[in-house]
Formats: sequence, structure tokens, C-alpha cells
Amino acid sequence: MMEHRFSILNCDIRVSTDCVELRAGLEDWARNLPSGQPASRSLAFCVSRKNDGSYVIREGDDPPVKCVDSEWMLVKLHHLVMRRVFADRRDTLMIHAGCGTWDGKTFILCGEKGAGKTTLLCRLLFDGVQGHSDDIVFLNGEGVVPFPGKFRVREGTLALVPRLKPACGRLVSYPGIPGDRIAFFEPRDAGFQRAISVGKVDLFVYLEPGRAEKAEFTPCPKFLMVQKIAALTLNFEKDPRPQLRTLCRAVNAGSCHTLRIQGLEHAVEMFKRALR
Amino acid sequence: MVNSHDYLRQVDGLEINQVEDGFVIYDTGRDKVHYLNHTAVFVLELCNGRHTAAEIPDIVSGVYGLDKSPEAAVSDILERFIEEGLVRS
Repeated sequence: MMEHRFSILNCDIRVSTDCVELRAGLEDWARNLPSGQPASRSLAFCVSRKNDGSYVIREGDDPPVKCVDSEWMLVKLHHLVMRRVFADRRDTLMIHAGCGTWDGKTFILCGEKGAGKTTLLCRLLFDGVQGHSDDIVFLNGEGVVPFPGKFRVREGTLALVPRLKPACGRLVSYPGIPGDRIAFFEPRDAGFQRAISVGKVDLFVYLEPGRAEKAEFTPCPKFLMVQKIAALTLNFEKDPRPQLRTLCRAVNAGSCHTLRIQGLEHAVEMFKRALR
Repeated sequence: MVNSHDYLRQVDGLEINQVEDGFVIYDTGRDKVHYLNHTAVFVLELCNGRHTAAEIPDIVSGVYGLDKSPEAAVSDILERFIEEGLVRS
């Protein structure tokens, strides 16, 4: 039996297994994650291979999760670990959004799945923007805490940001959104800076889905930005009042814009102009 | 349909959070969040049981210095408030 250990946020994670193939998969999404928080929780998983070639993931007394092959075992293990890591964060809002810093200013880039957050963030890396998170951020009374998971780069992103290919082209891809595959990309592996620290948000940007006839970067009323972010918040409590207060305070402290993309390069220019 | 003679009143249990250009209102009773601009919240504040629905447009007109009483706009807002359960008569 082998044991793999890694940390995400405040969680110390152990995966016991008799499957050598798990090692390469964990290298893909769990190796070299930026940390910054002391571990205060421990999570333990056990992965085993059955005689018929399928896999089983166990966690404590929970019902086992069955997987047909090693690829799906890795995808499901990733989901299980993330679900546990994201649980019990009652002091924060967990928002489906990306986050970065440029020239000392921190921004949150939010939008629906598939709006282009990861693509825009990956493109911005080449202009000196520090991409902290492409998918999940936490907001608390002190500011934003980026989720330190690897960027989830889809094949479509590589087509739009060809400069990523040397870094991402050889990464193993996994099933993601139906019909698409994703690779786990750590910006630091390609020489980019990435910091995981709490910070005040200077700019909130909502990325409108789809391509517009005309690119626009327009101010967004703050109460409407709160509405947009609330719709992308994944962990509202039964009594959401403290979280709403936190969200209102954070939005009040920054400026708010809506971005409609026509072409990626034009969007990059508008984005940087707003951060100057 | 709003009755112009009704004295409208906010429901209990509204938590109002202000942001720079509007308000985020959480209705604890219905577990629902509303996002309102300043004018809408001003109308909501006037729903305090002391004004009839017919009086509210004139008050709004006076405060905002409007040439004409915004009866239709205020009526729409009040109907929306009633639909959403933010006020009652």
C-alpha cells in the first residue's frame, strides 16, 4: 500500500492506494499547489483496484464510489477531494470566479461556466498579470482568498491562446464539460508568478457569456454586481445575511464593470486599461 | 392591482444592506434577496403605513424635483413589491 500526501487550503490530504497509476494522476492535479494556510483539517481516502479492472474510492464510512477505469477514478477522486475541501467554510462566500493581480491591483473575474474566464486569465498571464485562481475564490471580511487549485484549461483555450501550448500541450487531459477535455495547468510550472494571499478586491468584472457584436467594458451598478455574484455563489447558508453583508462590503470597496468580449486581444486591452 | 387608497406597509423581517448605488434586501420570511436602486428603496421606505398608494408618487416627485408626478412608474414599483411580498396593505 502506498500513501500520497498533499495539502489544499487548510486541508492535509492522504490517499492510500495499491494503484501505481494513481501517482501520475495526482501529479497532474495535486502536485506543487501553492499553499499559504496552516493545515487544520485532515482528509483520508483509499483507492483500490478490483479484479475486473474497475476502481473503488473509499472515504471513512461513506458509501464507496465505483469507477469504470483509471481516468474516471482520477476525475471522481478530484471531485471528492474538492467537495470535502470546500465544505465547512462557513465564514466565507465561495464564488465561481477567477482572480488575479496586475500592477498591485487585485481583480475578481466572474461569469457563468464557459464564459471565458480561464481563457482570458491565461492570456493575461503573458502580459504580466498574476493569475491566482481561474475557477473558485473565497470572499471573507478581509478580502478575497483565491482557491489554489490548478487552472482547468480546455482544448478551446489552447486554440485561443496558442502561446500556452508549450506549457499545456503535453499535459494529460481528463473528461470535463461533456464533449470537452481539460488539463490541469499550474502557471508557476510555466514560469508565471502566482500568489495565494488574502487581499482587498479593487475591481470586480462580470464576463458576459458569448461573443458580442461590439466589445464593451462598461461600469456596472454595484447593487447589480452583488446580484450577479450572488448568483455565482456556491455556498449560501440557510441564513445568508452575514454572507450578503460581506459581499456588499467587498463590492462597495471596489469598482465594478461588465465585459463583453468580441475578440480576445481587444478584451485584454480593455481589461488592462481598467486596472491602470 | 394597487388600490390607491391603501396604506402600504413593509413586511417584517427585511434586512437592508446598502451599497454605493443601491440596496440589497434580504427577506428573512421568504428567504429571498432583492436588488433595488435608490428610487425603488425610497418608495419602499414610504411604505410605512403612513401614506396611501396615491400619495407616494407626489412625495417622490417633490423629493426628486420632477415636473410631473411619476404615477405610472411608482404604481409599477408598488405592484412589483406586492407581487414579491415586500409590502402589504
